[in-house]
Amino acid sequence: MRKIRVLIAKPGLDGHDRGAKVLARSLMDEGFEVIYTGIHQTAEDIVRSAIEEDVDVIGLSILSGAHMYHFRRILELMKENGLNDVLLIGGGIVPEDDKNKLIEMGVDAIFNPGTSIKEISDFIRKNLRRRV
Amino acid sequence: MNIADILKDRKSIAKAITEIEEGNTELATEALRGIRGAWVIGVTGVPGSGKSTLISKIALKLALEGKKIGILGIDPTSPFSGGAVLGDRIRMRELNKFENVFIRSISTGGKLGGMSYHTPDIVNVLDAAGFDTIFIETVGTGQDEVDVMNIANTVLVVIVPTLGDEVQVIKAGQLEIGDIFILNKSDQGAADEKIKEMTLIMKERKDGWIPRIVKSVAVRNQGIDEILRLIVEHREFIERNGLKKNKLRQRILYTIKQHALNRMDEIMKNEEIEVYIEKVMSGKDISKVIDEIMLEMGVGYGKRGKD
Amino acid sequence: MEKEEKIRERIKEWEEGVLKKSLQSLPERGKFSTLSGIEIKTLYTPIDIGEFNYFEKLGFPGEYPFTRGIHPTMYRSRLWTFRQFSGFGDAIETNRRLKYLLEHGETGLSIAFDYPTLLGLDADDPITKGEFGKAGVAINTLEDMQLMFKDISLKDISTSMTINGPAAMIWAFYILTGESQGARWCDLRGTIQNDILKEYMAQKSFIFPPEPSLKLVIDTIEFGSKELPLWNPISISGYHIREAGATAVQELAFTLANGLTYVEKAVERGLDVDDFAPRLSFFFDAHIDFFEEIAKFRAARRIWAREMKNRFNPKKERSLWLRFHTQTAGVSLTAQQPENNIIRTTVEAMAAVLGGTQSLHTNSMDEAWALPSEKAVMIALRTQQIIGEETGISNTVDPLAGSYYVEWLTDKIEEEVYKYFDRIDSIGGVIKGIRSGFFQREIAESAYRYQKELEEMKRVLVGVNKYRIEEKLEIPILKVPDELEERHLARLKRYKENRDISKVQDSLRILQLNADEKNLMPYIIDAIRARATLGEIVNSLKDVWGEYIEPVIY
Repeated sequence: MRKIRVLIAKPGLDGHDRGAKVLARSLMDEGFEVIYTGIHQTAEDIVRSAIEEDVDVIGLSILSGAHMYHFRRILELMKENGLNDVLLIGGGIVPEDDKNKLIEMGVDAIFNPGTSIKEISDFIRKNLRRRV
Repeated sequence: MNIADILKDRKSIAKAITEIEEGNTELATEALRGIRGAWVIGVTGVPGSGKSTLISKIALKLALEGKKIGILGIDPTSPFSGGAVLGDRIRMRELNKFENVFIRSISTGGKLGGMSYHTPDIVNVLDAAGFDTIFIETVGTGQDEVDVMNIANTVLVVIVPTLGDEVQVIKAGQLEIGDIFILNKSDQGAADEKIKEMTLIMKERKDGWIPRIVKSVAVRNQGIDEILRLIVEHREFIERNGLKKNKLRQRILYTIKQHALNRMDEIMKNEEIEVYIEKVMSGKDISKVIDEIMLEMGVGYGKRGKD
Repeated sequence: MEKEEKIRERIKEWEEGVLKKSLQSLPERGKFSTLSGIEIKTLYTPIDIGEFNYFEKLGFPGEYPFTRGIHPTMYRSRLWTFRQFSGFGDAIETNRRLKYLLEHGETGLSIAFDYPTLLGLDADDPITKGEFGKAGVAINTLEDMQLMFKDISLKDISTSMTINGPAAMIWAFYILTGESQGARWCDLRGTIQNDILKEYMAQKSFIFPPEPSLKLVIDTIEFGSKELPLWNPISISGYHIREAGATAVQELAFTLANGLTYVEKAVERGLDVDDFAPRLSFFFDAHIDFFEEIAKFRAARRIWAREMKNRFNPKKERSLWLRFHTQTAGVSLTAQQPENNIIRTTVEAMAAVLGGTQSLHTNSMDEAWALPSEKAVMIALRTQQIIGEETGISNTVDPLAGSYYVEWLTDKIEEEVYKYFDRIDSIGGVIKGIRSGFFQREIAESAYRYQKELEEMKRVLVGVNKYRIEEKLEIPILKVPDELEERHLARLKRYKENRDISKVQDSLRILQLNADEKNLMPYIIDAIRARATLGEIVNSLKDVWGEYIEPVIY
């Protein structure tokens, strides 16, 4: 049986990788295959990795406040490359207003600090667009 | 079906790999039949020896020359959850800008030996898709990682001067499989002494190749040209002596063998296997029971991936 | 001895009598441990602190080993400095915010920089797209720095700047800004964080590899000791290590190990320890486990004083002081029911004060959502003022000394810190540990364990894994307007157009030539006088030193 594949990346310049790393390991514990690509990733890096790794989910962690820019750019590139069946989720310091805008733009979910791993993994399993 | 038509771009290659991993044996067969003879380089060595960085630096040079480069990074699957964290890409970021590079992260799926059952299939896919050079980075837990020699044309064994590796290398049988030994991070520890030690225990291969030892500091791009030169030298040796065909046949054989083992493994995971345990315990010969398992449970398995 | 016997006897009686009986009808709720996992007993008594040598362990405030505080009167003479971290958008906008804070009683400035600046990148570098002014202010040129402090007299205020990779350059901007206001260098007071080692361990805003980075740090320490005697050229920081997931013990052990590494390197350079050690400062996290934090601060002073004395034998007593700034724990803030964060911050701030901090930043309640709004900042500042001026907490020095629990915990943390010192020694020191990923692994491990505890409900986080509510959030959120970026970029462009580029190039070439041999501060100052930008100076050094790529740890 194929495992759910999740790409975890940190776009932009902030280096706070605690959340991304904890999430990567915790999703492994949930039985997912996590492709962790680390800090300082460009939108191009992220989408390319998502294509090559044929992931089911892209998960981004941003704490720098630059989420609007990075998500918009990644959504654009996902569209360009036809990644319609890939979930895009994010976590970090994202104000409520921005969160709503991001969801409107096509981001599947934004998780704020304090979200449990279970919430995230349940969300992924429930909303997966591809058969696993 | 022409496999090259299926593998027309980055995305379709990626999808094909997933399909094969899901059990599409038809596609695996097509890939196997479509192989063109890419040079496959296995890279093995303990964790922390800098395998990913080395591959990244070597691949970068080849990519700049316009070669099509495939890289497979393998990481272990958690025996508890079945999940995995695959982190080999972190070290290969500078390759992201090349159109002619393809990287894929693979989990072992719990298989020992340093690779997953489908690793040879994935090599075949990339080969059929026209990649010139394919790197396989094995798990690197150090033990028994000799499987890669069955699909690689050249095997690089990466060691470091700081870890007291020479003992581990021998223990893991890597002394026997390495065509080129790379003493990475050679700016730390007693590198020259290590080289001497290693030279003393090097033995000529059965095919006549004498393994080489080379120093490198991958993060600083030192020693990369020399490694590339040695890879070419080894390749020329293999080709000159007409050994390439053998290597290819070995890869084909290994691919098929892995399918067989994978299938057996799957069958043995089936809950219905309980029935057969009973038969053994009540006196039936093990070998007979296995015949029965193969006959009854193995049938129809190949269709599974296509529904 | 006789007394001890007596106590032991009585404890036994108590355990077998009153306690046992009570537990039968009223068992304890479970096991208890500090946030860092130190197991806690039901009761602490004189037995737990053993033969407590008062003079060795505590002494008097202002005297070795400084466990009770570095000043004899502590807050009775002067309260700690209220220092709120701020900065966003461009220099002009930040100038406005700084003045607002000064008007409301802040007594020291603290500047946050945006990510491009933290990485030594100018705002016109394409890789910085989307990051401008988001997490702090963008400073690329001398003009930016001058605008940020317009109408704020630098000779009359102390400024703390949270900057690491390009700390030397930002400091040089500041020095020249002071100069342009007419201040003498020797009158300038403040701190640059400049603690590059913890960047490799935790925060990851590094630029160059560890060795040249460390060289640059020692350059600033040397320069400061000669030219800016009132400046703290480094703030050795546990805060980020803790926020990245470390325990209190790890925070303290790694920070002190880093501190000792800097001192070693400076002494190797040939500096007299007494010329710079008094200007070393520290920066810690105040997390939610009240007593553990207090014990941590007390242990910190004692260990530092002892290690400095034993290893470097300074003549000045000030060289033994561990002076520190504290920030309440950002990671303890929750996005849920943000008002609850006011209470968390209050408890954490109290721990910092009871631990004897020299200055304090209290987080704002909305920081799990965004940069703080003005109202939230005001409440955070008021929290400090209430603690300092209403509660009476600051009325006496080190009021928790002598508590069996606090003294036991202080000793325990110290003991655990020394265990880490041994491990760090055994792996070849701090830099080797960074390169092999030792610290990163230790921190990631703790972060992971903490998350597990939350998931398994072994730890309660109010409003998060217990007492959750459906809520409609009504906190005003600060937005960085887009026109600030345009304004900044236009200014940067003008700045670059109005200069003699050959002078800039010459100054950068000279800087590069001297990168490994000379103290770079004068060369950086020269380059800035020639109107070089931050990005240009940093890039010219990247050409010499390369960029650091970290080991992969997760």
